[in-house]
Amino acid sequence: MTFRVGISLAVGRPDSGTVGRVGSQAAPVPVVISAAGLVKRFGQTEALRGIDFSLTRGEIVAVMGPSGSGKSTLLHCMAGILAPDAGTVTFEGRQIEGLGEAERTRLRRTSFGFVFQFGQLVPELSALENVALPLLLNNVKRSTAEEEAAVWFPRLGLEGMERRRPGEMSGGQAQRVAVARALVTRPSVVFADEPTGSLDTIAGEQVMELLTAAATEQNTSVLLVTHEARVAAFAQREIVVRDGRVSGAVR
Amino acid sequence: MIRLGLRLALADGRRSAFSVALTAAAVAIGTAILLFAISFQPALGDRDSRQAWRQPLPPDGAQPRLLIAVGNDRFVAAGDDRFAGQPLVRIFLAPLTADAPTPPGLTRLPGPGEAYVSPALADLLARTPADQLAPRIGRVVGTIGPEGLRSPQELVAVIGADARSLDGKGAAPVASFRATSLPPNLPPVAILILVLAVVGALAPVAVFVATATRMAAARREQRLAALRLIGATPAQVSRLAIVEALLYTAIGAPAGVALFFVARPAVALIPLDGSTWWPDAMVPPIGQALLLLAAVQVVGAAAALFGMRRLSVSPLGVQQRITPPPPTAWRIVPTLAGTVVLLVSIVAFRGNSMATPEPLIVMGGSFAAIIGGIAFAGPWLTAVVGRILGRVARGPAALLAARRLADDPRGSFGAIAGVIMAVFVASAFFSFAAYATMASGRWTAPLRPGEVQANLTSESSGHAVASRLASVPGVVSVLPVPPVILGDIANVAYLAWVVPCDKLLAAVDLPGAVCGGALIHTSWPGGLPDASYPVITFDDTGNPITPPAGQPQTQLRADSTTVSPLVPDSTEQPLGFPQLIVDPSALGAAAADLPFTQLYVTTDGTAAAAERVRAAVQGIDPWARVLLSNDPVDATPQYAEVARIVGLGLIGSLALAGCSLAVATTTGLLQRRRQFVLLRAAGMPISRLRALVLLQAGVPLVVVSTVSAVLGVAVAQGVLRIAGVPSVPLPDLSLVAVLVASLAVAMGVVTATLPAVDRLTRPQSLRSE
Amino acid sequence: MSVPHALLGLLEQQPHHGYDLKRLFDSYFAPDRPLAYAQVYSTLARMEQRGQVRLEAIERAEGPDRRPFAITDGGRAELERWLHEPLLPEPHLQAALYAKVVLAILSGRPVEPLVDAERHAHLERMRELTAIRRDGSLQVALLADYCLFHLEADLRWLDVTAARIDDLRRQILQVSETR
Repeated sequence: MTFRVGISLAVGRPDSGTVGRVGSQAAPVPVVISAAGLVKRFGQTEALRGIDFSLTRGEIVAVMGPSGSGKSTLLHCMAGILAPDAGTVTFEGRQIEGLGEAERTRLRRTSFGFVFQFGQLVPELSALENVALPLLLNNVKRSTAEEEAAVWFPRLGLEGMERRRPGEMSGGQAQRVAVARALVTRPSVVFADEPTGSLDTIAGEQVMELLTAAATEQNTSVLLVTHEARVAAFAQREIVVRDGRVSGAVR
Repeated sequence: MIRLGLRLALADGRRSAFSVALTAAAVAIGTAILLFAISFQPALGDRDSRQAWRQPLPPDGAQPRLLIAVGNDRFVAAGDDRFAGQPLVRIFLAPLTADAPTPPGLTRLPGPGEAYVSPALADLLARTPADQLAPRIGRVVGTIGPEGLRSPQELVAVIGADARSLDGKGAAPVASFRATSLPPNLPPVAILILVLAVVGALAPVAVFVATATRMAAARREQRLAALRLIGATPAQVSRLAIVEALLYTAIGAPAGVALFFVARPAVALIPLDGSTWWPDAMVPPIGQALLLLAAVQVVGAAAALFGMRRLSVSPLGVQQRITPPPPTAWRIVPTLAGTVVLLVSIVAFRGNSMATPEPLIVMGGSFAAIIGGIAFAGPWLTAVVGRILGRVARGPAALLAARRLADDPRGSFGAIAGVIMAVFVASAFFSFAAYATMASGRWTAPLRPGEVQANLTSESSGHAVASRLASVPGVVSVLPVPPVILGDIANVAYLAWVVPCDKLLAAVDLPGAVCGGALIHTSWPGGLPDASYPVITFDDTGNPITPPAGQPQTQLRADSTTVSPLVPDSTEQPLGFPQLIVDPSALGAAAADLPFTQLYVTTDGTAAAAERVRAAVQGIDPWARVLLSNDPVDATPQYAEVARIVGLGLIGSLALAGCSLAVATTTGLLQRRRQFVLLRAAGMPISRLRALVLLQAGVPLVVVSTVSAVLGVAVAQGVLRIAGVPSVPLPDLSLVAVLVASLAVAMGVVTATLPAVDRLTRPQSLRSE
Repeated sequence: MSVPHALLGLLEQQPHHGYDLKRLFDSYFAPDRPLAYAQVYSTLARMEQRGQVRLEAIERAEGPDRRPFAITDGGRAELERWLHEPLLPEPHLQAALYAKVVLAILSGRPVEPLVDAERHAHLERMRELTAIRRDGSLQVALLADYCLFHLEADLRWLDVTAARIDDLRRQILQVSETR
């Protein structure tokens, strides 16, 4: 593609998109979490009608689709928040869809991280305490938890704002804190549901940059639900969910 | 506008209907309590007019036509005459002229041996075996109508007698009956305590109303702020707010009136000044009642307007989530000021009879200021607790609770405010109640179980009573205790009973009493107790002593083997008992002839036997005072009644406070619902969420309650001491027990909300995004 | 807008005279900017040279514009190739995309795979641009953003179109009936 200004950007399919493609590298990357035949009904509505999907270690995948297509439901089922009506979810070789609530809660606390669109930070805790919260929930000593959390702040570009409250920050800053909170326990998978939904363009980009860079560094997989193409562009591949099924090609 | 307001108020369907119902209920309860408060005066007046005839009116120059002897004279003290623990009032009437007046409620005067009884007593007589009650009353010839009864439950008998039998029994001659009674016999301190108790009990009601209102207010503010943003004027928005407020008061006030009538029969059963009430007499004066209902509407509207103040200034006032400035330490000023005013006013009004409203208004007002000051200072204390907890917290639940307390101290304290105030009032009234119980002069005869003590009015019936009692079923033994004067060679006189010591101690439980102790020679304080007692010499030498001039005497002899002190370690005579005991064997046959007025009767322990004894005794001597082992005697029962009323009020307050706590806790959690749902979705276990809820309520509850309790005790002690009460009792461990129990109940209420919390914050509910 | 391919698509249905082809093309693809006759005939001539169309047997000897054109096997293959190969994502692709969608509907081919393939290609390109933007200078980043926004616009249009397929199908087939 050429521009009138005279700078030409690479055309075609450069290698930058090959990371994580199954089969195109010598060593196969292990699958960290997968779903097979997922079905979920809410009353009369069938939100998921048989979804097969897998995520490899360190992979960042975007789940796209129109609203009501079931993409959030897919995320909830894979994260163990909802139990599917049929089908299996396998995490690190272990089937998790049939586990009891307490066990799934423990799994979410120790192995998963979550970023939601808004409302997840506790307004009366400082940013530092918010980031440290998952560690505290895992019985880490408070001083240790706060030290580990503090390490994130320069990385977030929020050095010096550890003691601020979420209400005293902009939306973008708060979402960055949420990303740090999701990653502080070094989870295997981060589930992000419209993380930039309530942010403007630049704030959203900062959040996505941070999320993808930090996840890649820790080799954490990311399942990203979004309806925005520019956000999905931060992922390595996308799947499209339409009417409870995966539509379109691609693994 | 009205219809719009109503539609907005009920917009949320089930949830808003619930909050409207709750707020209306709160208004109803508050209205009902206030209605009872203004009905008190008319009820008191009505009861007084029904009992006026029992208070003898001096004839004042007119010809006396009737003798009337009521149960509160020295022979049968008030509250002393009972059946099965219930007070029984026996009024003896003897006509002096042919046109003697008939008391209200009676068709004619009963003749000697006849009696008119109250309906309750008639029922009781019908249900009771004939030998247990009827002999005390006589032959029933009619029932007393309501005009003559203090309350429907009263056990009253108007017994006819002839004038001679009432001679010397303290009967008063009257020409006619009183129409209005003397002022109620409530000691000033008791009145003060009662007034303070009403103020204290209203506080949790106010908190309940505020909590219920606040539940709806948050959503209402958002709705109305949205209207403001699209251009509604402040006036329009205010009008809508008033419509909604009037919805609560318009439903709540009539509901309160209905609640008043429904609760009235139960409230009428609470005794004050010796009797319960006629429910129909508890009627609020129409004018005052209408004024009250109108005031409720006005207060409701004013409160709504006050809440809308923020909106009128800026429609964004609600949207901005700016943390309001934290409460400062200056908040304790109102409590301190109120305490000072209260103590000063007690000094200023010392000796006041509390008959006029001024002193009560000042002291009630300053007490209200103290309680209100607690509500005002509470958030500051809660914030401090939050900060301290935040520093020492180690787990996530404690940290979250601490930060929440420090961040929203007003809301956090608002949930527990009712309980804190109830604790303060309870602690203050613990001291008052302890004092009241002491001041009531409660005394129980030191009888062992199953024993009955009979005190006859004259010696003449003594032997008749004793032989009658011997044949009463259930009586094991009869022990007369004839008193004698014991004189020794030094002409020192003692009061003694002639009775086998071991048998006496088998009947009474007197601390320190033993048989066979050594004698101490001390002088009788205050001279000879009763010159009509027989005099006995106590002397090894056998020399007679000279009795006081003009006194009859029976010379008898005793020696040191048969005389012993009753309570060896005491140099004084125990109340109602003699110093020395003389064994009857020392006097031989003469002992049986000694006159007596007091007997101890040993029964088989059944209530029926005890009542038979009482009936048998009073059947022969109607004025005899019969005490059972478990019949308490109150010298001033009004104190005990006040203490009981206060206790009931406190239980009600705590119940209401518990409701406020449940509502406020749930409301607060609902407001943060999304946050909790997301936290649980991210892996927070239910146990931590539950711990958070419990800590957030429990920590400030325990800390602030303790402070509140200490303050309550301090205020009460100050009030009593400054009021000149001679010896102020300090509260004991039972106060701690009561407080711990109240806090446990409060935490129980919070725990009861946990299942709802679990259900409302299920991560599955994320779907409705 | 690829005029040759659009004409091929129309001819796939049945042979047409040049005049008819222009009329059809205008009504389907360019109602506000009708094609010039000359352009139609010159395009047809070029396509005939490439062996994608051929002139049918002459009905009457009345001149070149009276002979219908028909699609050849070569033409069919070229049409097939063009339909299934995603376009290089670039701004202002709507017309070509639109043509593809309309032709797919006309020929009874399923539209969804077409749209999905297009979306996938767009997202691939957007991923590349995002990586470029992250690692490059501010100037590069701004240019990349320009592309990204336009690609996103395309995708938005694709989503809307995909959502309205049924309505679109009805309308297009109505036009073909009233032809």
